[in-house]
Amino acid sequence: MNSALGFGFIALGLAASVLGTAGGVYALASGRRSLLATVYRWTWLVVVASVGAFVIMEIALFQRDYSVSYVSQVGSSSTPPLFNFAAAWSSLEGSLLLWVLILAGYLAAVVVKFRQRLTDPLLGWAVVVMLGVSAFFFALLVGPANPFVAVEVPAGFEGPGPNPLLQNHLLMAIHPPLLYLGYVGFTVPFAFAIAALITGRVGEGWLVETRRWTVAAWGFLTLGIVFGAWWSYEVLGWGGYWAWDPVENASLLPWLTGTAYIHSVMVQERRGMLRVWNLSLLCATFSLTILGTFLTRSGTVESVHAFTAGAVGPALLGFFAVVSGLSVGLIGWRGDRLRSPGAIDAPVSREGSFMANNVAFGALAFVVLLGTVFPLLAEAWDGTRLTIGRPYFDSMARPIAMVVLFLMSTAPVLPWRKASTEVLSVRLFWPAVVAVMSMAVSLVLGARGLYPVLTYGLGGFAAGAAARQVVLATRRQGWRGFVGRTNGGMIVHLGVVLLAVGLASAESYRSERTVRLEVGETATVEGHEFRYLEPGADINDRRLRVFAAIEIDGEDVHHPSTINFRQMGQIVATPSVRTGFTEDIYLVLAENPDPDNDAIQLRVIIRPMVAWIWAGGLLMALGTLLALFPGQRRRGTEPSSAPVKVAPVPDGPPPADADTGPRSREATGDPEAGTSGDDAPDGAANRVGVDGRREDVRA
Amino acid sequence: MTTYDPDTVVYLEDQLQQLLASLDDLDSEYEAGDLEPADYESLKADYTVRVADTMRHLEEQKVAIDEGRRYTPRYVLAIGAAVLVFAVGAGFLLARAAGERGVNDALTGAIDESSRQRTAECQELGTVQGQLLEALECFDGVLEQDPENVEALTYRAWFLVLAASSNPDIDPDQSQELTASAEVYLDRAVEVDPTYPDARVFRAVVYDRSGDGDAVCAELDELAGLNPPPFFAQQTEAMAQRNDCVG
Repeated sequence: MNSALGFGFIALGLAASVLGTAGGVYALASGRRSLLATVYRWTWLVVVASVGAFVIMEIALFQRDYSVSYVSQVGSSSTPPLFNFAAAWSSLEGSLLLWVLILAGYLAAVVVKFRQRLTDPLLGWAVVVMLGVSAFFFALLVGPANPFVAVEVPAGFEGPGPNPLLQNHLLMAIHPPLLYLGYVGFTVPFAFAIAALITGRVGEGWLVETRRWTVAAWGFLTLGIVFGAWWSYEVLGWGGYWAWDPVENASLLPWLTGTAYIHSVMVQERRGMLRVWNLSLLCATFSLTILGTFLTRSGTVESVHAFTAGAVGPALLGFFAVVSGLSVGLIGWRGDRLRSPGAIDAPVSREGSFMANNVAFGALAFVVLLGTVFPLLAEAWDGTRLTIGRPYFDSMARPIAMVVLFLMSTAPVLPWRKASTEVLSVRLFWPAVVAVMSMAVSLVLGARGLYPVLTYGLGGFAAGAAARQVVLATRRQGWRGFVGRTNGGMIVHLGVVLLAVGLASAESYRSERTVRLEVGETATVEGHEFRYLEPGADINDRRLRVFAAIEIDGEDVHHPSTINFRQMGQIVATPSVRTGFTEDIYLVLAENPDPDNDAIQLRVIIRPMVAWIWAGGLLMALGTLLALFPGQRRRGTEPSSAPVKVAPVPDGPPPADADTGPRSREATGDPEAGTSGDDAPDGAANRVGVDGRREDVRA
Repeated sequence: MTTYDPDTVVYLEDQLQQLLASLDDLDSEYEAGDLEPADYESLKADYTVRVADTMRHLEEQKVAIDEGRRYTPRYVLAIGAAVLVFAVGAGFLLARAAGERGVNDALTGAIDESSRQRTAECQELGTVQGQLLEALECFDGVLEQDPENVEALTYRAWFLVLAASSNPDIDPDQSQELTASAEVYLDRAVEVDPTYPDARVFRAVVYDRSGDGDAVCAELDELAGLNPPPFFAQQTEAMAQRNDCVG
C-alpha cells in the first residue's frame, strides 16, 4: 500500500514537473502568456506530490513497513523516534526525496511571493527552470533511486536501522535538512538568472528580486556546514571538525562562490558593473551544488558522508554538464547585452575591495575544486589512485583567509568610488586600535606562530570595523541599526571573526596525550587531572555501550564510550567533551576496559577556543537572519535611493543625477559618515517603467 | 549621454513591437472602415513619431553598448598571467601533497590522527624507509602537540643515536652532540614513564657507547625489574656481558 501510494506520488510529481516545464516553454516561446496560469497550477501539483511522497515515506518508516525497499534498508523497530524520522534522509533515495520536498517548498514560495506578476516572462521562465530541475530529481526518484520499490521480506524481518553514525547525535537530524535548504535554495536565484538571460532582462531588476532568496540559501548552507563540522567533532571521535574530505569540500565550494556573489552583486546593483561575473558566479554556485550532490551520491568517493554507489551518478554528472553548458551558452549568447557601463574608479574603494574579495573567494574555490576533482580526473585518465593531503588545502587556504580577513576590515569602512586618506584615517582608527590590542594581548597570553597571531590581529581589525558600523547604525537608526543587508552583514562579519579566531586557536595550540589508567588512577595532562573512577556498560536491544567514568579536575564526571550497534555490528567510539569558553577537553576511549584489570587507554585532546567556532557559526546565522529584514527605508531623495541611471525620456529633461557627481555624504568625503548601506527597501529596485522612468517594482 | 541598461533595451524592444503591431492594426481597422480618414491620419502620425522615438532610443542604447568598457590586450594579458602564476603555484603545492591512495585513504584530506598513530608512522619512516631526517621532523610534529608522548620521545632519541652512528661522513664532535641530545630525550622519556622498557634499553645503549659501564648495568637492572618480554633480554644480553653486569 505504502509502496504504491509513494510511487504514485513521485510519478505524479514527475508528470507535473514535465508538463509544467513543457507548458511553460510553449506559453513563453509562443507569447501566449495567458497559458502561464496553467503552469502555476502544475507547480501546486508538484508541491502536493512531493509532500505526499515524503509523508508516505515517514508513515512507512514509523509503521516499520519493510515491504518498502527503503524502509527495509534503513528502518528498525529499535531506532528512537527522532532518528527514525531522520532516517528518511539517511540514505541515497530518501535524501533525494527530501531534496524534491525542499525544492517544491521553494517553488511554492516563489509562486506565492510573486503571485501578482504571474504573467511576467521573467517569472515565467524562472518557474519553468525550477520545474525543469524538479523534473530531473523526480526522474531520479522514479528511475534509479526509487525508494518505494515493493519488496518481500521474510516473516519477522527486522531492518538494520540507519547508519550508526547517523543515529548518534541530535545534530544529525538537523544538519542535512539545513544543508539541503542551502543547496536547493540556490535554485531560486539560478532560475532567475537563467530567466534573465533568456528574456534579455539582464539588468539589475532580477538581482533585487532574488537578493533575499540568495542570502537565505547562503545562511542555511552556512549553518548546515557549521552543524556538520560540529556533528563530526561531537560524534566521530577523532577530535577534529574539518578534514578537507571531498564531501565537505563539495559543500564548501558553493558556499565560497555564493559568498563571492553576495558581495559582488552589490557592485552590480550600485554601479551596474560585473554583470557577466555575477551571472557566472550564480550559475557556478548552482552547478557546484549539483557537483556536490554527484560526489555524495555517485559512490565515487569513500567518505563518512557518502552514500553507496548507485546509478544516479552518471545522471547527476550529465545534469551537471547540462547546467554548466546551458549557463555558459546563455551567457555567451547574451554577451553583447552584458557589457558593463562603467569601470572601477579607484582600487581603494568599496567596489575595489569587493572585487578583491571576489578574487580571494574565487581563488579559494579554485584551490578546493582542483584538490577535490584532481584525484578523480587522474583516476579516470589512467587509473592512478591519488590522494591529496591536508597540507595542500591548509597551505593554500591560510594565506587566502588572511586576505579575506583584511578585506573584511577595510571594505565596510570604504566609501564607494574613491576613498581619501582623511576618510580612511578616521574610519580605520578604532579598528586599527582593536587590531593592535588583540595582537598584543594574544602575544602576552603566549600566542606564537605567524598565522594564529596574524589571525588575532586581523580578526580584531575586522571586528573593530564591523562593530564600528553597527554602533554608528544603531546610533542613527535605533534598533533598525541591527537589521538590513549592511547591518546584518556586519553581524555576519563578527561571526566570521569568532570562527576564524576559534579555528586559528584550536588548530595551532592543540595538545594531546594517550594515557593508560587503572581504576582509581589519575593522570595529569596540560594541568588538568583525569581520574578513572570506574568502567561501566549499558545494554539494550539496539546497542551495547561500554564506558569509563572519568572525573576531570575533581569536578564533573564524563563518560567516553564505545557503542556497538548490534544490528549493524558496527562499533563507534563516542567521545565525551567538556566544552568551555577558553578550551575544550575531549576524551576518547581509545581501548575498552581490559577484562583482567579494567585498565583503559584514554585519549585526551585539549583544544582551545573550539566553542568560538560554533558561536561564530551561530552568529553568522543570526546576522543572515537580520540581513533578511528590510533595512532603513530611504526617501527617494536620499543619495543611495537616487536613480543610478535613467532610461531615455522622449523629449523630457535629462535626469538630475545620472550616476555622476557626488551623491552621498561619503562621496562628498565626510569622514565621519557611516558607510552608506545597500539596503534598498524590499523590491524597491529601480526598474524602467512604461514611461521610460525608473519605477518602484515593489507592487 | 545615454547609459547602457539591458532592461531598458528589452523594454524598448517590446515597446517597438507593440507600436509596430498597433500600426498594422490601425491599417486593418481603416481598411475595414472603422476609422475616419482624419482620425486615421492623426493616429498614424502619432504612432509613427513614437516608433521613430523608440528606434532612436534603441539606437542610442546600441551606441552606449559600443561605448561600454573594452579590455585592452595588456589588461587581459596581465590578468591571464596572474591566473597562470596562481594556477602553477596551486599545481606545485598539489603535486607536493599528492600521494598514492591506499585502501583506507580518503580521496582528499585526512582526519587528525592520534599521536599514537602518528608516532607509528614516524617510526616507519625511520626504520622501514630509512628516512631519518624526515622521521625526526615527524616526531617533532608529534611532540609539538603531545610533549609527553613517551614513544615519540624515546624513538626520536633512538633515531638521533642512529644518525650519529650510521653516517660515515659525520665528524666526532657532531656525533657526540647528537648522542648528548638523544640522552636528553631519553631522560625525559624515563621521567614521563619509568616503566617504558624501550627507553631503558636505548638509554643503556647510549651509556654503553659512552663507556659508562655502571650506568649501563643500573639501567639494565631497572629494565629487568619491569619484567619485560624475553625479546628485550636477548637484545641486551651482549651489552650486559660486555659491561660485566651482575644478574
